[in-house]
Amino acid sequence: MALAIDPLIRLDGISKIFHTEEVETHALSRVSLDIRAGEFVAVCGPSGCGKTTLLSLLGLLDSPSEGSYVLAGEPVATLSPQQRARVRCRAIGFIFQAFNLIGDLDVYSNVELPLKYRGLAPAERRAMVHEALERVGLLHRIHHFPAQLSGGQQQRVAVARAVVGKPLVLLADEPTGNLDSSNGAQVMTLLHELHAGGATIVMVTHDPRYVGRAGRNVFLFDGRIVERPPAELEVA
Amino acid sequence: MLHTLLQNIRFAVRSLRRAPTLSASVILTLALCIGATTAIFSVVYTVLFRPLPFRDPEELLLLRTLWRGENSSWSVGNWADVARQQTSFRYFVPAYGESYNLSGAEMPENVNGARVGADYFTLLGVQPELGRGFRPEEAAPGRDAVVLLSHALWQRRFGGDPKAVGSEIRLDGRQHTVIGVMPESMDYPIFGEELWLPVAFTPERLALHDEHYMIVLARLNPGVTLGRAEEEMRGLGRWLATSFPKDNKERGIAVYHLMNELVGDYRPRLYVLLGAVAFVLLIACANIANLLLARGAARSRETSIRAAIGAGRRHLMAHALAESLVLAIVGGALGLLVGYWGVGLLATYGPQDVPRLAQARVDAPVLIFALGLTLLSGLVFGLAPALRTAARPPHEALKEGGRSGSRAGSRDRLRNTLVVAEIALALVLLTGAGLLIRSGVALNGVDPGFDPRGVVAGSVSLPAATYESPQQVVRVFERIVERAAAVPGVASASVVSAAPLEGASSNGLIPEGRPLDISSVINSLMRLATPDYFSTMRIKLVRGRGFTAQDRRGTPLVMVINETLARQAFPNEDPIGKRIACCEENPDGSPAWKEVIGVARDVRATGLDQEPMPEFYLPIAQAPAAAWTWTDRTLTLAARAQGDEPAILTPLRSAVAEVDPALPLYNLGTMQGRVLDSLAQSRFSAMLLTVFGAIALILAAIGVYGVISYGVAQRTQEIGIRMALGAGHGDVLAMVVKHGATLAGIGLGVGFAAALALSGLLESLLFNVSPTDPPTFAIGLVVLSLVAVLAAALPARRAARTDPMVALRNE
Repeated sequence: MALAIDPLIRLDGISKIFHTEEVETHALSRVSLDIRAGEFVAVCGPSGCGKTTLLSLLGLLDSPSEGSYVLAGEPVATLSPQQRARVRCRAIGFIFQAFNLIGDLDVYSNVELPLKYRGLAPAERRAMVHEALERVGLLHRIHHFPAQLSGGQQQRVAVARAVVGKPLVLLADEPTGNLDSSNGAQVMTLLHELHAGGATIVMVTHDPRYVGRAGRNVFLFDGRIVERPPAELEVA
Repeated sequence: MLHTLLQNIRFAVRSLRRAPTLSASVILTLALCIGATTAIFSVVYTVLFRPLPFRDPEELLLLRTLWRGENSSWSVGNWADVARQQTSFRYFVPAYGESYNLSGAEMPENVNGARVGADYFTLLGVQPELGRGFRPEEAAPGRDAVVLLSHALWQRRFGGDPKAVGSEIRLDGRQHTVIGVMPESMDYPIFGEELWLPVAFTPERLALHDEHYMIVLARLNPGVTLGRAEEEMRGLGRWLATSFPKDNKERGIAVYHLMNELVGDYRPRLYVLLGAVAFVLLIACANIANLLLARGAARSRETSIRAAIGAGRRHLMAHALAESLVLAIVGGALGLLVGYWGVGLLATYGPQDVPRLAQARVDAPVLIFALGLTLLSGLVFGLAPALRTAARPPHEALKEGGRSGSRAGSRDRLRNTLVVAEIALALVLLTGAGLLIRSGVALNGVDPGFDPRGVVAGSVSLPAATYESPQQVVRVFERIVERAAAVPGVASASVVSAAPLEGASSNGLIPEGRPLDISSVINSLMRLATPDYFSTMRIKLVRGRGFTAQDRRGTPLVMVINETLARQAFPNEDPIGKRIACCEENPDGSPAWKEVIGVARDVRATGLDQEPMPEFYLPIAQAPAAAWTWTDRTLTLAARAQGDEPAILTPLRSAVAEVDPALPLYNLGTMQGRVLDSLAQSRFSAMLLTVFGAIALILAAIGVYGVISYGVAQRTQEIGIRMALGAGHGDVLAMVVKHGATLAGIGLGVGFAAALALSGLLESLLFNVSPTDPPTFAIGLVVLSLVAVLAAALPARRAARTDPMVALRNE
């Protein structure tokens, strides 16, 4: 998964301003951040500090109001929605807090989905899906539907879906937020295994238990990167 | 119970008022569809089912003779002989139509009348509203100068004055005493008649077995079955054939129910229209059910709360059904207004030759139908949403979000099935409309064999009392033609016994060389015409010549035949110079041979959709004396205008009046108009079916749009997730359109099979188009596919614009 280009992600003076009627909300203000390939970065901060906004910009779900974003050497800040979708498909894997599996698709089809959008051949897709599910230990659940799985299993399927296309970077939004501590710990272990295998991971969390387990922590407060963590995220 | 019902209705009304757009759409859709169905039902009921205004109308029978298996009429002699011998019928009454010039203080006018047996009204069970009916002794020559008026004629001509009874009127120049006025219920004419006179047969006519022009109405004797009566008539038919072979060989007698005979031809067309409008209503119900299902899903939380606090399934269903019934009743009430308005439109603008169409109205049976339809519609579109509401587990909507990810709305089988049904029904309607349109186009393209452009035509009837001798008749008609031809703006003028498309009286003729026997007879339409008829109508003479002023009595008898008769009478031979016997005999009993001097192109004699029949033309100056009786001394004056047709209408009336002020020129209009009139029924059916097809198309499009839109709204988060995982706009667009296209595909498949199965019902209404016409089916499939894909593409575009950020938002 690691790429020779360094840094893999470079944000420079990124701001994001939301306009609602006459109110202007600065979700992010002049954020600059470099992430090297193979890093495991935890983005921490209290609710409303801009974590999710930062993740959406990193994941090209949205574009910044100002600033530059270079992903694997390519400037991507001003891409059109279609161009962003193409990059997303190729380079980014998402893990969501609410798992976001598609209820009408079985495990296989959920994991296969990003590969289909990439236009890979069925045989190639099948091999990659099997590999990803084996990696998360759920190959035996391949024809189950999400509703037939536990929360932890669902999140592991979501992890398989995120890694199946071997993206440049894995973005995890509070991946343990909807899980009990036991399942949360299993998912974190899985992420560490992926990281150990060379994956670049950016994880948003406000759970103090997991802040210290990343290779690097980035603290956000009021839309800015701060040097010290807010009091509630102080790691013991 | 009543309290609960009222409470449910009150709540339903309040709840619907909070959703004004939905309520208005449903009510409007229902009003239009129930209104249209009610209007068409009213017409169907009036024309096909409303009892005839006679006593025990279902027992009334109409008897026809059959000749070579085809329906024919009765001659006076045949009627008299059968009437004397038959034992099955209580009444066996002859009747035939005639037109009369009614003159007096008012402008002369031509009115349709009927000569009927003296017991005609006793048979029908109808008494005069004023005065008296016919007495048996009045059905005799010299005593028949009595007349009964219809209510409409009494109102129009006499202003409803009771003193009209007992007054004298002139019919065809002869004084008649008005003995009574029939009630308004008798304004349902069998011959289009407005007055009645008694038949008055001379002994000679009673012995005449030729000249077939009457019908016979009858009522069975008590205890006699229809089967027995038919058996007796078959026997008497055989007796006629053997007793009078010259006139009756190959003749039989058939018994029909009067009602069937009067309206039977209209049944398939009206049933098709009723079926079509019912389909539209079904599609509308499916659409409304879909709307209510979506509304039910949106209100699932409210329903769950009700269930949680103790409402049972029955209560929840009653609650949901109350909303549907309120919508149905309001829609039905408005629909009744639309229906009332629609009935008026249909009665006014519908084809005028449909019997009793003008009497269509919203009466008690129609009201009951509308009420039943309203309640049924409410149940049809309300039941599925109500069942679903009641079946939903209460905890489902109450739980705070789900953890298992996005549950798509695309797999809602019931809603999808409804849309599939809509598409299938719409395809059936579209192909039906398409077939009728193609049939109409084919009819429009038929060459009538003459050029109607620029020609005006009207009828002139000469009263027998004034114009007794054939010479007089010929002289007057020739003078009328001279005057008409001299009218400024008239290029040419002529008279003919029946203009094209109007039918004509038929005669049997025998080509020379064949046995002078009825088995050699070719039944052909006869037209008496003046020399300029062919040029006035621009009927091409393909061989030989037309008539000249020299073709008169005393010169060799001549005839022009049409191509069909030429083929039948002289196959593979040149008919010019050949001879044909017809219409009369020489004083010594030998056939009066007529030489074929020309062959005219085939003309559509009875309608554009009827194949040409064998036909022949005789110069009026050589017309057999009896022909003036057959034609009732009524000819059509046809004039070709040099310019504007309307400009010569009034001068033509004056031209006729110059010859005899008592002669009205009636039924005056353009031949182009007559051609259009002959297409009125097929045009009207095609127009109505096209309107229904278009509504069905729109409703189906709305249905597809609604289901896909709803699905997209339900799947917003799923779409966001897919986009976050790399789906581009095209992927999302394709996914959503594919859903619509799949529904459309299934619907089109089902609809195609249904349309194929039902197309046979249209067969009798089609002209030169197969009920399984591939281009029509292909166009229907393509149009509906495009519309369905387009209807799906709109929500698909919206879906493709989904912000993928929604994937990051927790429910």
